Amino acid sequence: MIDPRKIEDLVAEVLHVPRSDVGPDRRLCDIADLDSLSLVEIASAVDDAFGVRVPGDGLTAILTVSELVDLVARAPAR
Amino acid sequence: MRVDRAKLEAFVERAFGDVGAAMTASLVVLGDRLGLYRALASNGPSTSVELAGATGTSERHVREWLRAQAAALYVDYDDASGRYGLSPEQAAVFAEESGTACMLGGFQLAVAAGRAVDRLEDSFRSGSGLAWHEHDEGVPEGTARFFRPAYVTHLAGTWIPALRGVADRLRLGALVADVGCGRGVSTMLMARAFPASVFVGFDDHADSIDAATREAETSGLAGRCRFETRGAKDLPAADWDLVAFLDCLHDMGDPVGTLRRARRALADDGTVMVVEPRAGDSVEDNLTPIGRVYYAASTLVCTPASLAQDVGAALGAQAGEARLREVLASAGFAHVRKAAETRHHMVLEARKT
Ligand SMILES: C[S@@+](CC[C@H](N)C(=O)[O-])C[C@H]1O[C@@H](n2cnc3c(N)ncnc32)[C@H](O)[C@@H]1O
Repeated sequence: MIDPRKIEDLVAEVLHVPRSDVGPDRRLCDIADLDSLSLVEIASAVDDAFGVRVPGDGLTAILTVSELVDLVARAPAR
Repeated sequence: MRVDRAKLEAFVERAFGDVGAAMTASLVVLGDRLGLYRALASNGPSTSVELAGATGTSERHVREWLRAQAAALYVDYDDASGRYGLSPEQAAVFAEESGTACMLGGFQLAVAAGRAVDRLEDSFRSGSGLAWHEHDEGVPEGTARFFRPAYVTHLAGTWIPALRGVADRLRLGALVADVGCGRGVSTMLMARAFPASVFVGFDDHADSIDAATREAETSGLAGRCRFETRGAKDLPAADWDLVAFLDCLHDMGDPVGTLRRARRALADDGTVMVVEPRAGDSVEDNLTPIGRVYYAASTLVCTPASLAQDVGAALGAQAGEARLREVLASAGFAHVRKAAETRHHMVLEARKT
């Protein structure tokens, strides 16, 4: 099982924002000014923490944090 | 003036480095086509024998390729084990097709565009153009892959929300034209982000439209995301809520006529979004690494493409905001504003009212 709070921690850390800025319904692009490398960093951090590879075409800037959690939960283990 | 030895040495070294980069570009295309990077990423550090075995390729060729890749610092080499591998960063750039750091499209585009060099030599002498469809098929495919990371990162999350009232309208259900859509990357990203709206992509390059149509079918978007082979100046009048031009206005022969047509085809309170490569207004502003890539692509592809069409305005891929505003004003748009700017792009919003 994926603990959503762990993903929220990780998003806050990667995007360099206070933990309180990250909630389940917030979209990644509304949490911080993303650049194309931010998405790669998120995928890599998720891989590191959970050993799964999120499909790159699913990971877009407009995902909410809870959609990201679903994506991670469904991602194949590596 | 006499040559300065130190400056000459430094410049020769730089140019020699660029020779290395130019030679390496074709090797990247080989690695992409043959799945060499992807196999290194999924199998981990490999010898040439292992990599050739995994990819069904010939070991002697692969061995030389790996050495060249290591010399380019595109793959890592471990002398102790004789294995070659990708760091996470190298994998992000060369092995993760759908990731937003992928550069494979840029290399594909560069190598494919170079195939037109003989015809371009003639064009330079005669002043004739070279149309989009006259290029190697790697040009449209490479272009789509090249722009994809920026669109994934910014289109639905940054650019559209920066337009006044447009995101709300798209959430409720709107009609959107994506003109010069190529293989439809942007069209499909918008369609996924705004499921209540209908999207139609237009391009006069039939092969690109076929590829886009197939992709929309396999990804289950076909119901609200269609594609049509059609020139931009024949955009049907349909009270469009949004007419988008992504990285294509400067490729067109008659951008003013095209925008005039878009203005007529638009709903009264509709919006035109022009996304163009980011550039300053003077040449000097653009003598940067980004300007280098876009001016080169513009010389090989965009400028000749525009010159091959009626009018032949040839804006170039680094036209700059001032020139684009002039074009929009000439087409009758009284209200133009710069809505957003991201690393590689600027977004202009134009409205009738
Ligand atoms: C640089 S590509 C960009 C494609 C796509 N928007 C993207 O970003 O991936 C330029 C596109 O403009 C299209 N194009 C050029 N002139 C056109 C015209 N007059 N009518 C329709 N499409 C045109 C080309 O066929 C090509 O697909």
